[in-house]
Amino acid sequence: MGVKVIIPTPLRQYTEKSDSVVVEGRTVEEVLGNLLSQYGDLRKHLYNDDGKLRSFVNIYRNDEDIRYLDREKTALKENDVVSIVPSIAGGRDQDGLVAVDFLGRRAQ
Amino acid sequence: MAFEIRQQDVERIHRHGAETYPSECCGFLLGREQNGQRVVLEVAPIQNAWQSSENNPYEIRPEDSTRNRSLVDPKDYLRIDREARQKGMDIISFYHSHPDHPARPSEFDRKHAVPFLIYVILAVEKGVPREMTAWVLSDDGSQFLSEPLRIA
Repeated sequence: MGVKVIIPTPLRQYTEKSDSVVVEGRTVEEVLGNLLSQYGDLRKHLYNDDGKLRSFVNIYRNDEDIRYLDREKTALKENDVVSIVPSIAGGRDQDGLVAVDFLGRRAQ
Repeated sequence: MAFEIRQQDVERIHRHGAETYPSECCGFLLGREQNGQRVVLEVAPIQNAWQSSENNPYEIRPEDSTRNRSLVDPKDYLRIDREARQKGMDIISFYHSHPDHPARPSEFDRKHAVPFLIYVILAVEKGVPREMTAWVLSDDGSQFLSEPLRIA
């Protein structure tokens, strides 16, 4: 049974630029496992060293976060879509600025 | 890689930064990669979910609020990514404002940046949009590299 996995732009460099990949699997765990057997470089972006999904990675089954379903054991059926959604944040810090190449140009 | 954005889209980001001041604004820029350069075709403003998201995975210090942090709720990412794909576009950039602070990436920005996305930062000084800069994370994640912004 094939399930479509949506790859977000930040991770496409690890999937040979594919924006979605169809893989076999009856649970999220199986699908992600099969995805990683095709694209091993994705692993460190999805899992930490303990083999747990990173907290900054959100996995959705259709419109639902798997944290509120059965997590990685969440069951999948034909035509379900699994989306990998990265956490995105930003902000200013008063305690100094980060190393940059200092060639930043003005927009205007 | 050059990064092209239209004047009207720059102004949209400016307005967003002024509207949410003194809080940070945030959103995505949608577009395409064409001939080795990324072209912005649409601005997708998002509500800063730092205080409202059910699932904030970042360290939250007592002094943190939307005045110094912006967060995209994953549901908003999912929705905007879906809409972009339907229109043949991609999320190519994340923008946010730095109220009363330079348009330079912070350590927080760098530490939590994802690869590929261009991070656009708008300085807003006392409610007035000022400098806008663009950055992309280096391959090893150690620093932000400046990205030339071309206003079309």
